[in-house]
Amino acid sequence: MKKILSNKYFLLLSRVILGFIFLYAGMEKIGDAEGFARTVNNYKLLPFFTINVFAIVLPWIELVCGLLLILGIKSKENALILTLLLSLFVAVIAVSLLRGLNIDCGCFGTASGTKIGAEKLLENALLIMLGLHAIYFGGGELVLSIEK
Amino acid sequence: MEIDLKTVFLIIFISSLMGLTYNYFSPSGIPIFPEKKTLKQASDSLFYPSITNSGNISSEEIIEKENAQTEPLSINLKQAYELYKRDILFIDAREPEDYKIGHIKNAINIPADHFDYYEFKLNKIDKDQPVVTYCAGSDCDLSIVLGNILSETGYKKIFVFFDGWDKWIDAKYPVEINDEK
Repeated sequence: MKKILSNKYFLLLSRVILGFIFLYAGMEKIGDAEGFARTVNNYKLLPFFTINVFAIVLPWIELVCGLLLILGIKSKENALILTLLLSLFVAVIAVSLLRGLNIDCGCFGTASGTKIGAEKLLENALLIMLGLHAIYFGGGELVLSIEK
Repeated sequence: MEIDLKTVFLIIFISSLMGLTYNYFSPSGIPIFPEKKTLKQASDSLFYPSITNSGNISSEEIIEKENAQTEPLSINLKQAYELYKRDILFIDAREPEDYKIGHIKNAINIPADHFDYYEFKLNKIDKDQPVVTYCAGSDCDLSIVLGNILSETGYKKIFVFFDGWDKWIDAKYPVEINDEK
């Protein structure tokens, strides 16, 4: 099992899928900062004055980490950041579902317009598995070699 | 699994800096600290005009002329129903799927999040005509967002029915429900 998991092509696949999803998610949100800020506000979890900072910064972390992960630069570190973000998203969606909120996920900006729900939790859980894979075994094949 | 936490923080820090810089120069950038816009509540005198001594002009018209309202005003359920009875146009700011399931009778749908696609619906609506925006209720601020967009577009008499669909349906006011589902 460990042999399969540490296969460098398998690692490359995990890394690129996760990276690409976040690259896309980041770009969608950057395109409509105002809409994303509104979505964040709808979750009613952050204090009002922090919402815009969060909406400005988060998409760029997603974008940069996604890009670096695709390129294979500092794969473990970037995978860790994205996995932590995904865990945060799971917690936030779960809490919002428990509170009975029927709101836009905002996962890929406001354009997709999907609502939060159990499938979003599942989607994030699958992505967390990809993230853990890269954290444990690194980037695999085709990494840019500035890693020591 | 040796992970360099310093790198982790550095990546987060640099990304954040990029975000703030981009936001600063971007034409669609947003303020770092949002302004809390609170809507003014519409006064009841707008809705229950008393006949004045000066001929046929009601106080409603006077108020309308005196302070040509430009900012959207917030209205409560009772006021919303009052406007509804006068055939004022209601605009549902929610997503089309929600609108399809059920909406206030005779309301049209202009989703605030996709305003550009639906803007054409405004062609038939005169800018001096009063309109009421609403969405799901207190969990949602699309009604306010749409109200602000309409205000920027040039509409002058905008009423935001913030309690929205939830309260309307509780009050058993006229609705159109799609039972097909």
